[in-house]
Amino acid sequence: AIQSSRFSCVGFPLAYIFLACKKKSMALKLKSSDNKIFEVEELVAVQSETIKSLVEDGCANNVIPLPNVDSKTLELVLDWCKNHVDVKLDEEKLKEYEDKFIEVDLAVLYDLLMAANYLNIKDLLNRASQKVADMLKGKKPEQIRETFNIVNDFSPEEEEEIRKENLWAFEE
Amino acid sequence: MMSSSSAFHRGFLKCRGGACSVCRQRASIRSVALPTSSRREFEIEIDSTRYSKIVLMEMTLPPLPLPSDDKCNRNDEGSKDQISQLPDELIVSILSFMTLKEAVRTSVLSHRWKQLWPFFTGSLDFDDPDTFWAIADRKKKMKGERRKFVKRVNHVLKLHQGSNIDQFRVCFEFDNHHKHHIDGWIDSAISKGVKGLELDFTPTEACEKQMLYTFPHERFISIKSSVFGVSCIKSLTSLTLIYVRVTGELLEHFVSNCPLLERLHVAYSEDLVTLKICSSSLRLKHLNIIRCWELKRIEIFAPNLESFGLVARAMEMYVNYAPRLLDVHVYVGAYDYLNYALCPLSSYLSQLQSLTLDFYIAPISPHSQNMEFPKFQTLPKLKYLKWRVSTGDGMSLISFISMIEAAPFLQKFSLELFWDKSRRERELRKVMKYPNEHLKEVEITGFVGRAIDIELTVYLLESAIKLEKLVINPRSPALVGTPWEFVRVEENEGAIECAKQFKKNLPIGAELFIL
Repeated sequence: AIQSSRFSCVGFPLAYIFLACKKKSMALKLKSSDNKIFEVEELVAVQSETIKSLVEDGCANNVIPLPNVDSKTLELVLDWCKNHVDVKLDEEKLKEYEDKFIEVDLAVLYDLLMAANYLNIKDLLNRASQKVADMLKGKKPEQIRETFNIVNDFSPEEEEEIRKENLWAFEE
Repeated sequence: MMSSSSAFHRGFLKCRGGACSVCRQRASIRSVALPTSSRREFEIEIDSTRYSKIVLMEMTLPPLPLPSDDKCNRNDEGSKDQISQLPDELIVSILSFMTLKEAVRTSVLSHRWKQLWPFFTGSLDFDDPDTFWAIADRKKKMKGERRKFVKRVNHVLKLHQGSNIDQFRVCFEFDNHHKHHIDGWIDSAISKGVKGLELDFTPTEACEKQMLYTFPHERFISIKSSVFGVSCIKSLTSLTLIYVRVTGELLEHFVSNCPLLERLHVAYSEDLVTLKICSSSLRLKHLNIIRCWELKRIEIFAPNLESFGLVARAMEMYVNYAPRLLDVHVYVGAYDYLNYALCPLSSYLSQLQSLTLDFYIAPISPHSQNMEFPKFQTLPKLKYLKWRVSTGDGMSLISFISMIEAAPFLQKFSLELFWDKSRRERELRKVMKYPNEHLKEVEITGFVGRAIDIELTVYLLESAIKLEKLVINPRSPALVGTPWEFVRVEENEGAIECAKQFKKNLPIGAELFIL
């Protein structure tokens, strides 16, 4: 934080010259697992705690490889970050955006979860978790298994035992 | 570097062999920190000589191992169980957005899921309103249900392994006979760094005074036997205690030792006699002290306080500093004490956005013949005004409209009428209308269709020239929220017929809703 704030301080002449020399110095380059390069403003990228710590440690001068995030997912993630830069944004509009954003296929949702976890973007992680939780809610275990292709590896006796143990949770 | 990776490590999952996702993550962060080294990237990236020098210097480092990309096969395996392939902490993160009951139900999905729900970090919410009302209705027996309830809480706490939880909430009728269990639950919750702690022991029937559960003071205050250091309650953001005996001393201890505490709600504590909430660094935003009838004195200095509720007998109240106060709920008692009750708040009235007044007009009040309400000080910011009034037919609320008129920007007015069944007929009082362009919504709960509420409604319909919504609910406010709310009562039929008459008095553009 100390470094980046020093550079962004326009009143400090040396930093200003440095800024002028190094074109787009406030932009970071991120590389997805499929080798696509994304150029983003630092302000957008540092919503990822992972990237933020790299910037703070001075490791963000070069291209930042993100070997766990493919370009399709990274594009989505960066769109999310762009829309969350200004936290004072109209709350209603932001919610509208988030609701629309998260309406994606389950496979994309998993990718978003993994990316949000890896990049440590708390609000995205929470929103994506919430979305999956909403899909699990109100369903019978059999329905959940069907929706999410979960293989039941319990014997009928074992399953009955678990239900008995937590009877209150299975009462309608 | 270490600090950022430990931020990743959310600290609640045990390492299982080599598959610990937390450790994996740590490794991957370290590799991100290393500069890239592939020559191909180098060619794509470098657009200035100055920049390339940096890259060249760093190129001597070993190449970054890229994970094998198995995602490309995904489309062929649409029926694969992908959710179970998510790392543990992600499944736990998903579970934590569910209710406890839903999370426990996932234990039956598969072996993997059975091991994960105990790390749930959401709300350990033990509330069972259906059983509560079934007991109140004498359809179920208290004793047996309570035993089951205790067993359930103990069972869940025994299995739960997460090192943090958002909320711990128990709503059931308990008294001091169950102190042993409840003390243990509080210990558990506090040791898990609970953020919101709520104990609501509201009885289904009035229970004996001396039997109320007593909050374990000694655990928090006495240094000798203190089970927890002060640091254990540091994460507390909200504390709600209903029908729990707690002293002012302990509450003050919590307020001064929980730097994150934003909400304090205490109701029906007979041990609460004096309370002094006073610190310039307080985060406290919401303070409610409800029906603690022994309370004699309250003193407040709270720079961030936004809402304050006090339902108590006449007492000493000092609001010394509350610059952000927006929302006030006070119990006035007999209506003629209104000024007395509001006096300590007088310097804040002009900034309030929401005001709820609880009062009664006694039928035998000597003033009832000529009830002139004193001119109310202006409430320029007030958007929402609510009266909770207990009264009978002989009385009139017309004397109080000066309060409505003192709020030129009022947007919503609510009346909750607790009406005694006197049948004293009287003529309607008619008052001059007082146009208010901002008043959009009027809601009357407990509408009886008699002089007391008809005349006030007529006045409001004439004054709120831009009204959008008039909501009339003939059910007593005491029933709202109970299973009996929607039971048909014959007496209400007359009130409903009467409410329908308002249709022709509605300002243009307004709608009438009869619930």
